[in-house]
Amino acid sequence: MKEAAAPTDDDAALVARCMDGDDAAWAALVRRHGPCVWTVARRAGLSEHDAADVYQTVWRIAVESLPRLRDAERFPAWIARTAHFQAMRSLRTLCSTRRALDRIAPREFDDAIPDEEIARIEHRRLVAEAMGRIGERCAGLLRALYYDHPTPPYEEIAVRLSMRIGSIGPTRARCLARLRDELGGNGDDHAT
Amino acid sequence: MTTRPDGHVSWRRLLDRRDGRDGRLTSVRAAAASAHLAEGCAACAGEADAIERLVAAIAEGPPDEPPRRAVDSAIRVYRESCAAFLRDEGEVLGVLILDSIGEFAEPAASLRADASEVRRILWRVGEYEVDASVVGRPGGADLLGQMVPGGDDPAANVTGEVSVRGGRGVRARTKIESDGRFTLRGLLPGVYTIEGRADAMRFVLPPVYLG
Repeated sequence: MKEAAAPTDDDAALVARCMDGDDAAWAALVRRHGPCVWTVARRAGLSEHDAADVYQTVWRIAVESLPRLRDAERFPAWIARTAHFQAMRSLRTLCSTRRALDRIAPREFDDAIPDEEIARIEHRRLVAEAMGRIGERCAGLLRALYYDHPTPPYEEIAVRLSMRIGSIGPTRARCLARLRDELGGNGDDHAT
Repeated sequence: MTTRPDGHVSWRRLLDRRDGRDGRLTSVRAAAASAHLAEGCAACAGEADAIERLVAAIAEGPPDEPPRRAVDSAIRVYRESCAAFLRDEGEVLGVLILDSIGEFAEPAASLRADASEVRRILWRVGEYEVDASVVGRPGGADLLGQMVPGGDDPAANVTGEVSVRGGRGVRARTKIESDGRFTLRGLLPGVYTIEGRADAMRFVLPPVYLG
């Protein structure tokens, strides 16, 4: 019996397991990188319906591409580029239909997605995963300080997280340092 | 507490300087940190950028989740597409040798509606090679292939048949001509496994996207 794919398995391990017929590994790949595929498709301006079509096509292509993925560490960038390419293809089809109907001007499409954009989306995923490993108290504090809009006042954060107002600042620094370390940064000797 | 012996600005002080919210950094220390950065310290600027990226990623949140139905469907793609290849019923499994779209080239590049673009794929299966061309057409892709037996006999014949199987079963089937050639036309975009019999050998090739 195969071991279930663990959330910490790297992409190379998951791809290798997929090649061995492990559909749990495939499901882990889909869950890990599906949000990136979806974000790229939506970012291109596709409706939810059209983005869903692109999403399916990308994963079909990924199945077929498994035997070629000799350097699976590049899987995140590869699938983001494939998603972007498919999204552009879908937009071209949609726009050519609209042009025919509405006689609107042709629109330029860029088949290449900037590396920085891919890196930013992948970084968001990695940070979100790392947030799940730093403890709920830390994650809650960082979300309150940097994610919630508007940022709640310290008094509210203190009540919500049962901590003293004076400890919010130092705790924030420790939590960010822990998050950075989870992401593989330097040690936190500079954080104190 | 936040001073580093090497003269750089500590990570903690860079963070306090960025947030500037809880008044932990005195104006003197903040000015000193800013002056150090203004001197062009690459190490501290790099750390300040890393803090900005980290905070920005938290602020943006994780990438958007696709609808649950789309995720479930994508997960099923694997089992549906690979079922024939993974069923282990004694077929000889093919191995991809060459694909003209390359290891990490956009597979989608083969899907452009330009009939002049031909994708070339070569598999090895047992003693045979399967040499195939995929030609994209508006009505679906054409798969033009040839089973080439091993050995040195140029007159060796191949008998058998080839079929393509999609998620819902066999989509097309054809006989292998005596010279090993076979043709399957009008395949709608999708992932298929190519399987069949060449002489006495039953075989199945890895899934391939045709469209």
